[in-house]
Amino acid sequence: MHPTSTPSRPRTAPPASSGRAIHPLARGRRGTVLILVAGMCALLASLALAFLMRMRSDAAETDSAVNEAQAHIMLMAACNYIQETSRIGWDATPLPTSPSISQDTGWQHAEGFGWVDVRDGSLGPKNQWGALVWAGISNYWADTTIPVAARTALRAPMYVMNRPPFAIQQTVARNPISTTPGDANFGLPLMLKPDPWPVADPTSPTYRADFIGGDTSINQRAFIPTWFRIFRDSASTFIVTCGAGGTRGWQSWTELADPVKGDANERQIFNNDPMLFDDLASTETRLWYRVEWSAAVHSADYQNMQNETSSIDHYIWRGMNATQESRSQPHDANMVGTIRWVQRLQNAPTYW
Amino acid sequence: MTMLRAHPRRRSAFTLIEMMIALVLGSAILYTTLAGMRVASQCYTIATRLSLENALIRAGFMKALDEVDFWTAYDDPTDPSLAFGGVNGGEVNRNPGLPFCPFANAPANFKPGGLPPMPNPDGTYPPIDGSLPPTNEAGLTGWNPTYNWSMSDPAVWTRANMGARGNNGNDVRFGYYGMFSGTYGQFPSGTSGLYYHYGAVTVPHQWLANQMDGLKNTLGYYGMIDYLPANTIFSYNCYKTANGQNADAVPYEFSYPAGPYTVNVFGDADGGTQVPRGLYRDTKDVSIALLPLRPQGASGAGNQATPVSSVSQAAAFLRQDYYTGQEATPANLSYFQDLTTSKSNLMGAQPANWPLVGTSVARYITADRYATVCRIGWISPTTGEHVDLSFTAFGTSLRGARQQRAQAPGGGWAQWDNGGAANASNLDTQ
Repeated sequence: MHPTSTPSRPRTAPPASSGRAIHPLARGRRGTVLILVAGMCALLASLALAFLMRMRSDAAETDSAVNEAQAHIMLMAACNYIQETSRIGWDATPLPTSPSISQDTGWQHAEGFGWVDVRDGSLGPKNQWGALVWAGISNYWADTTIPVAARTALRAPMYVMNRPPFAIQQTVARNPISTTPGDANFGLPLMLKPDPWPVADPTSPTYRADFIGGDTSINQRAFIPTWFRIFRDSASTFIVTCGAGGTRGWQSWTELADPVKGDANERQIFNNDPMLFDDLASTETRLWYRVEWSAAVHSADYQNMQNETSSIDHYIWRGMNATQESRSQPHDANMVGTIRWVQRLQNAPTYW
Repeated sequence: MTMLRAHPRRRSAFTLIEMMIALVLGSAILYTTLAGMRVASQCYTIATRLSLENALIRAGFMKALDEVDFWTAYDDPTDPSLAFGGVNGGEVNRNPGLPFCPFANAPANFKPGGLPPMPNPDGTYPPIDGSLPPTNEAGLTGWNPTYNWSMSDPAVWTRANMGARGNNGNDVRFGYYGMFSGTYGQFPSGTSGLYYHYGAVTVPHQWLANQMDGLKNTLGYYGMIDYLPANTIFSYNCYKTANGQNADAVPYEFSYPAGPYTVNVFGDADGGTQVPRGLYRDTKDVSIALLPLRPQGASGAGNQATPVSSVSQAAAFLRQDYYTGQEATPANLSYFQDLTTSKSNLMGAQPANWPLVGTSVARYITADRYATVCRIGWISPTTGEHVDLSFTAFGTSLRGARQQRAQAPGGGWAQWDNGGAANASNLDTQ
């Protein structure tokens, strides 16, 4: 056995006070590899940290781009809402209670005739009996007779539902034609299974309610907090605010706490904490637009004559609702008016 | 040295075997560590490059969305000299016939401040000088930015002869529709033209015809379409026009089936159609263009000379349509794309090792639809790979963009507020 490898021999340098001395080279050599490896590891760790920080920064910047895109999508949603509510959707609760529309029972739903009534140009929407669709509801957001400072706005938090009402499966071919030679149904187009097929389970005892009601809870996997808000500016113009962020469309905590415009249940969502709300608002994307609705839909002139015959005047009109005609009116999905113009506002207006 | 000599056995050292093992192990550790660090470093470099590329693409995306809403590729409100040959090149958008012409500069019969034919739903008329209510449409010329064109207003209804074949042998078998509406208050008796058979006639409706005529002359075709309601029948009567009219008083501009690339002819010639028609039939297989300040087909620094070199040329580009549908050839599409697509680099100057990112937008009307097509393109500095990402978006319309701008060239943005104070004038107001 080599003398230096005796078990009793200390491996570490003795304390300086021991009076023993070790050659400086020998002392340094023992930590060289450790120092080198530790240094390398530190470099690796710093690289990894810098990488993570950059990825974190990228993710945050991507969030802002996603928010911007989401807010633009909300502009489309808000315009669709303005268009549809010019005419439909007014049979939801609470029903107007005006005696003038007491006929609004049973099968006949209230139907609006436009934000500017197409019958006489008056303020709308009015229903088929001539009454404003919100008659009987106080402080309604669409009521332009309320001064702008006191007027409320429609607020619409948006999200992807787990299963929308009346959802059907997006199966392309429920009944594919058999391509198996020898199969009894080979090459036959047969409607063996109902098509379309609901997403809700048809075998469930609660199927009907499931199909009609859907599962309107939030689909968390697809959830990006987004909202729009509409302030009726005049009979036909609206301020649309498009948002991507967590405030659910509330303008400020002051509005949320307002006895008329606010909502105690909504405050609960923010844990009754103005600081939390302000923090969410500070990171939110908000875009303001002004838009005008028009009752004009598409021109009713689709293929109203044989356009290949140009030698004589004639009036061969094709049927307005001819489903076999590729250019007929049913292919225009805007029976609820159009958005005449859209203007992005540089700044938030005073009232929105 | 003395101490070393005094304690020779303390000069501990490695044996050869220890040294060899230590060297092998140490080398392995060092090699592994160095290799790991090298890979990590390369990963970091690649990640940094991708991160930079992604950041620039994001910036390009945000710039494209801004363009969708603010139209600065078509009119820069902060630049007082949008002249041909200038650094901003392109068209002089503030001239009549071009889409950013202030209505204050419109032809005399289309100045802003026109009286609307019908009051607003609250019973009031938009601000206007003159007596109220109007007794007829004869004096209702000019643009009123606050009138909502109520569909119940008889003045906005078309009175075109929807069956009139147009130019080729129209025998006016259902009568002369030019006596119901037109840009004129009356037409005189005379010795030529079909109208003279009717004697001197006072025409009851002028408002819609004047609006269409004024919008066309002030803004060009895209602007006219943008401002008119979606159900517009693009036809109105002018019993005498410079370019001629058919036997039923409809200008050849709206009835002549000349086809695309013909200046001062609106609408396609599909099937030789000559009847008055709406936007779908007028834009089937063809497109109505808008010209950006710097089209990608332009040559020369800053887009001087081509494809637009004068106001009149720009106006002519905006008073025709282009093959883009089933009749279009690749050359047709390439020409249209070069003409209508803007070009803009994300940065004026940048390090050579950064990706070159550009954004563009093209706006046009085709098949009854407004298209705003954005494109982000980038070229990798290391591989030369060119990637394009395109998408369409919905945002500010032409009228909205005009309402965003102060009247004076270089006058900046016209802020709008509903707080009670008067708003700044814009391209649509007096």
